[in-house]
Amino acid sequence: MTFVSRIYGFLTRMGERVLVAFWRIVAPVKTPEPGYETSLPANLQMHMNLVMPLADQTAVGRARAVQAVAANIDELFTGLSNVGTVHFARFDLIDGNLCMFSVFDGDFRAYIRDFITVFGSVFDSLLSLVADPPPSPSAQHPEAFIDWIHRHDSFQIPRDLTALFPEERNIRNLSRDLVLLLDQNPHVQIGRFSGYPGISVAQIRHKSGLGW
Amino acid sequence: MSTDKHTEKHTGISHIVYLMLENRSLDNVLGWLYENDSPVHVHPPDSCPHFDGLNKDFYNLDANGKKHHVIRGTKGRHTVPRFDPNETFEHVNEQLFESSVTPKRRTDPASDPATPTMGGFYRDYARWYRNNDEIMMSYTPEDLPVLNTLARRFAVSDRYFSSVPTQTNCNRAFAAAGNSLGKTKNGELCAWVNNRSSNLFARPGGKQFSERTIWNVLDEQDQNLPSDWMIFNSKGNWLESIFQVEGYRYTRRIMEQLRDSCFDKHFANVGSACEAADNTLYGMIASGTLPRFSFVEPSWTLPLGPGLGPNGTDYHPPGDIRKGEQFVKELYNALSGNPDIWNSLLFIINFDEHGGTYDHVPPPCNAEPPWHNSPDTPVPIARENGFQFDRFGVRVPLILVSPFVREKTVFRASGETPYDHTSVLATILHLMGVERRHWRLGARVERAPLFDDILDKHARGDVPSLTDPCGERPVVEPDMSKRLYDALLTDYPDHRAGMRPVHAVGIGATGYFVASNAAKRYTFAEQFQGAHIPVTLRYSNGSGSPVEHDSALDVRGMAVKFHLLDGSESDLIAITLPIFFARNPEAFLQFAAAGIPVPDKGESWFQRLLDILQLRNPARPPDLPEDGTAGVTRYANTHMAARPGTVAATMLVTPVSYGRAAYHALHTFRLIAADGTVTCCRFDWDPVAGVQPIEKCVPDPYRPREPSTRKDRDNRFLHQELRNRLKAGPVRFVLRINVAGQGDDINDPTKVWDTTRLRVVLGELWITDIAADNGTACEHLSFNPTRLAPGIECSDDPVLAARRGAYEYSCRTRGGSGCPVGGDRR
Repeated sequence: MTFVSRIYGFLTRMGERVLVAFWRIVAPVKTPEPGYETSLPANLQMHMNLVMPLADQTAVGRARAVQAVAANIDELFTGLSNVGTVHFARFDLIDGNLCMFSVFDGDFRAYIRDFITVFGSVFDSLLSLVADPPPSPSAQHPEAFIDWIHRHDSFQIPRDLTALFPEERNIRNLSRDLVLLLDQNPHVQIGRFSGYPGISVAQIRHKSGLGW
Repeated sequence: MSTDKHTEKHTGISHIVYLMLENRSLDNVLGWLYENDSPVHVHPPDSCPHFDGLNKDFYNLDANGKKHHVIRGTKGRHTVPRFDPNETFEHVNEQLFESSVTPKRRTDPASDPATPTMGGFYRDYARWYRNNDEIMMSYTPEDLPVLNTLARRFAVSDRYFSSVPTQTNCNRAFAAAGNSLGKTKNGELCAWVNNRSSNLFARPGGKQFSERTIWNVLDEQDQNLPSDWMIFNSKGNWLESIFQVEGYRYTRRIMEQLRDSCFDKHFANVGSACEAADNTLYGMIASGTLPRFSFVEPSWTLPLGPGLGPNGTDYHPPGDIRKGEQFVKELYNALSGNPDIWNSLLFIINFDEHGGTYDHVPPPCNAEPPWHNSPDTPVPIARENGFQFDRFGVRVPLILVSPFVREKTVFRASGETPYDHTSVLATILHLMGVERRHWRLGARVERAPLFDDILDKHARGDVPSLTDPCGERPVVEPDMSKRLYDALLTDYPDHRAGMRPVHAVGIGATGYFVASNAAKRYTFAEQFQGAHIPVTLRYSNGSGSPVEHDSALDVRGMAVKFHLLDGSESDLIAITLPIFFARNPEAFLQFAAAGIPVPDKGESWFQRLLDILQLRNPARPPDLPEDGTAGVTRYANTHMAARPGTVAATMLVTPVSYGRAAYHALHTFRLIAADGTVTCCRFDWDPVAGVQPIEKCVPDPYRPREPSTRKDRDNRFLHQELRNRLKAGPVRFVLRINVAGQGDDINDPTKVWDTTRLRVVLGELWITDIAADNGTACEHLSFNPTRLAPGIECSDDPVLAARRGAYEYSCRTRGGSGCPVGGDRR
């Protein structure tokens, strides 16, 4: 990369920051509520992308998080298995964030309630490493815990971008609205694919003869 | 509910549209709304979690003491009850108390003689008419999908009562002014609306209600411009036209104070949803000039007997209730189609009275007489029928439609006083910012519970779409095919006679289709049973221009014709756009008109700079000197339904090959399995070789090597590419269906379905050869999206219905073969 192109890139990024700051004030957008529906069919695969900033984001703090997950891995995996609606769940450490990505069946609140019941105590110990954790123990504060999970679940951008900004009067501004939405939400889910959508964990276990 | 807490009005509502319909009880039209489930939200939160609808245990006794239970559904008829039930005060007494005598005013609530039994509907109807059981029939959500969908997807009250237990005019007077001046009878307007026994030839007029109305209150508070309020009346029926009362303004007739010429500017016609002419309700909606408060009158049914008399859009028995459904649907579509209106809208739908139709909830007996402790409201000199105005009328529907209303809400007043028409009146005044001390409309309005606290602070993002009335096949206007065809021609001025109006340039191919094992579980259609089915197909560019522009960012088409054993055919037409621009033919006509190409040089450097400063993506440079993109964008700005398709079109890419693009059939179809199971689904063709846009710069080995000119290289390569590709081997596509899930819009091609839906592979298409004779095999051949083998059916998507005729018209016009649809079946 030449010096000139580096300068150009730097100025472009600076300009973009100024413009984003300007439009953030002049034409703010609001992040739509995720709108978790209740009474969803059990065969509807939903995604949860939990991004939880660690309280200590140094290598020491991150190592502590890895050790905490490793130390509880049996409890976590057994719990996830027992919840019975989880297609997969993954624990990742990305930058200073402890992440849990999962695909589950049906209702979000029901999923988190099961979560609390089956392995809430393990999760409580993990969340002690996270900045601004929810009230603990989760079993005694289920609603606060659900709300906290809700807040840390990455915003999921729908397939129809226009549905995100129903109040926008000019569709050419949708690209700016998206910029401002991402300005508010550094972590978002952009797309989701499933090899077998519309099939629940229970159906797969039953058809495949995997038992419970 | 205490009214004291309503100190601040909702700031998000700046358009109120109030549609008052006619003569149906809540049970009659919404009784089975939550038959199998419960609302998600109830208000007040501690009230009953269930909707108070019908169950089959409810009954009335006949004169012999025999039980006649509530009947779910109307046996497929939409004119039930086929005679107009009695609705005068005496008859309502019979229906409620099983006696025509006015019950005594209650003195001791514990032993209240005035508690209605709701047991006299059957006998009151049976005494006068045959087909007695009809009065116990009630429409299901399948019978009335428009009203029921709105009630489910937004909010409905199951404790909203008409203001007076009698007929139309008195209840409309309460809705307009909170008082019927002691009257319980319709009076001089009987001949015209609602009363089959009066003098047909009497002209409307004379004295009705002389009190101040909500509109006088607004006028006094300097809200006196047409932009503040308007009353819209529907076009008169044919009988009214004969008697020169065309465009009959009902509210103005019965509320005397509105007759003053100073109010002339506040009255206009509803107009037509298709034309949206200026100075009509639809025109104002389209142009975004809708007043802050609009009161809408439907067209009036004039019941002259079974099947006789004009059928209005007012739901009044015994008219065909589908006309009302269509009217409500069109109005909702127009309101929700303009985001400037929709995002600040409260659309109120209610019925003036029950009109003699059955309801099971006794109306409360704690109504406030309008003159009670109200110095501005004199006690009437005479009260008809000795009625003290201390009882409410029968329960009627109240539906609130607004982006500020949560889905599946059922609401009731939180205090002892239930909602009635004066609640609507008081809520509107509150939302219009009129201070309570200026209302002076009597005690009933003063103490009416408001429902503005049903409205959320934040608007929801979705706009639910409605199915067509009664689940019947959409009705396509007779000349719609030609209008659609002509509209498309205007978008392509260089159209050449004998070619298709769109997708004009194409290439034919042949091959075969083999169904998967899963397919036969979903449909018994012949092509999905597993045999090799020969196919003819045609690839095309979307443009109607006869000039091939292969490098243009255009839609591509893939029309497949399955040749079945008995010589019949089944078509599947798909394009690279996943969603459509319009949800009905009328909207498509508007969209096509907006897309008429005009000279377009693309953005200037200054506009590009502005785009950068506004964080906008640069506008796509036009493919041709004349382009309709700007007009289409303007249209999409004001029509929410057109947005997803328009935005998707800006993301189109040019494929390296017709065989390397994914194609979508846009509409929903019904697959019928051998056991009768119906699956609603959308079809997709996915290329086995994968999707590859030309921008990826991956060398395509089949691309023509030696273009004669640069123009040829850019604009004509897809046909030769396909020939080269097929010489090397078959081109394969997998046919998948996405199965509709809960909440998916079956009949709206502008709506995107979520990727969580069940996806099933129905089979694989093998394209083996270019058609030997492109003209005979494809260019003259008719493809039609509604030509379907038994085992597949069209959904009720109105665009799909309109495409049938438009494709047939196009086929005839260009001298094609294979039309009309159905003519090929041997």
